[in-house]
Amino acid sequence: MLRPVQALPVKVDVFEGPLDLLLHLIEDNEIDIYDIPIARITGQYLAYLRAMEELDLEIASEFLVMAATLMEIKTRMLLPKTVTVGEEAGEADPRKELVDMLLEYKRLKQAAGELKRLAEDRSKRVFRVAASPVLGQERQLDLGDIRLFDLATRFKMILSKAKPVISEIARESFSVRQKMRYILRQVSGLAKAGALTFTRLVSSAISRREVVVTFLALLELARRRRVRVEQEGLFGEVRIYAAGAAPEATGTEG
Amino acid sequence: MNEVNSTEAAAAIEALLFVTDSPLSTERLKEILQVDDAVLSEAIAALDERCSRPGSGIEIQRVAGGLLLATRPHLSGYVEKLVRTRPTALSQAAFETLAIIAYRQPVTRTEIDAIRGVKSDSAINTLLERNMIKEVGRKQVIGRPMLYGTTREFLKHFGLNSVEELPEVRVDESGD
Repeated sequence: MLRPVQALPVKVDVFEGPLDLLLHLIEDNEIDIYDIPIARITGQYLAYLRAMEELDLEIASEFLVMAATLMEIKTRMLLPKTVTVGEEAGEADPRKELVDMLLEYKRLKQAAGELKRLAEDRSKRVFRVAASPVLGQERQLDLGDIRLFDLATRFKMILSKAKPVISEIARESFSVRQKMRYILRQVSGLAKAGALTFTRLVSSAISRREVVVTFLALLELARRRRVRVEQEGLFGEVRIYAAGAAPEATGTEG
Repeated sequence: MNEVNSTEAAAAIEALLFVTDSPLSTERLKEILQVDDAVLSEAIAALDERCSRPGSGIEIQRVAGGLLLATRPHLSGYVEKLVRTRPTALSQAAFETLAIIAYRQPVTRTEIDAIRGVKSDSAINTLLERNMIKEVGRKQVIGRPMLYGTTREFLKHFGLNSVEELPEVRVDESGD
């Protein structure tokens, strides 16, 4: 099936949800919320869903649940009222629950509107953003009559006495070429259709540099089509597969 | 307690508000100024009065349980030329979710979803990230779901002193 490549200009979620859509239909039709003509509204609601379908838009499950609810209410309203003798008499309007939800939702929209208005109001005022001097007590240090020059001399002296910090840096012994060979060896050892994960590949790496070099090697192999690489999504696990026809020998070309 | 009259106190409060950017509570002001409630409120009233004269560009705002200096709204045209004041926009979904939490707090995710008729997870996460809401405990029902409430940042963002100041929501239920 052909899907439009570009995002549709129609914004589907102009309706925040089924209640939003229903409220829109009710207001559009100037309907009394306490006496909703269920058949009419259900018809319009379904027409909207159909339009969405035609536009090949994904219809959120909530919308479908509401469609089912509407149809159920419609059915119940079509049934003749069975006035059972006893306390069950005077069964509630099947629309009652829906109306309550709609009213609640309407109240919510109003509240959201109030918040928006507040934020708007608030934005007309800018609160002081103090480039504050350090708040709280700051202790004064009495430096007597030490001059800057004295400080500098003292600092130099301390520095000259300080032992240099010696740290040993292990020589790293790997190259992109080596890593490429290593990856190919690993991949060729896989069972058919098996995958090697990048995480696994670098699990024994001792430095960030080694991880980077391994990654470069992988990129190079992918470029030469010696391996096939897949990733499920952003930051997902990188899976490495043996390239179908490629021989497993180490790279000599390129 | 030395005698600080309200004129001096008003000046001091103005100075203190000038150097701070988080709401100063009346408790803290009393502590710093060493004045009693009567002098303090007289001083604040005097400062309020002075700031609301036509010649003043700033005003005292009561925010999140304290006082803050703010530019006066009618000057926003000028201020905006210097600093960006538009609040970073929240989506409709985020506004609806925030409204439920603000007016109904504390509430659970499920309660929010029920009122909106849709899942509100991403809106809730956005609001948590923006520090507008926070987790305030767990509801003592099966599953012990997380309860959400608004933050001080929320009050500051909307220029409110407390959630009691939220505008009343009245719905014309006659079915327009």
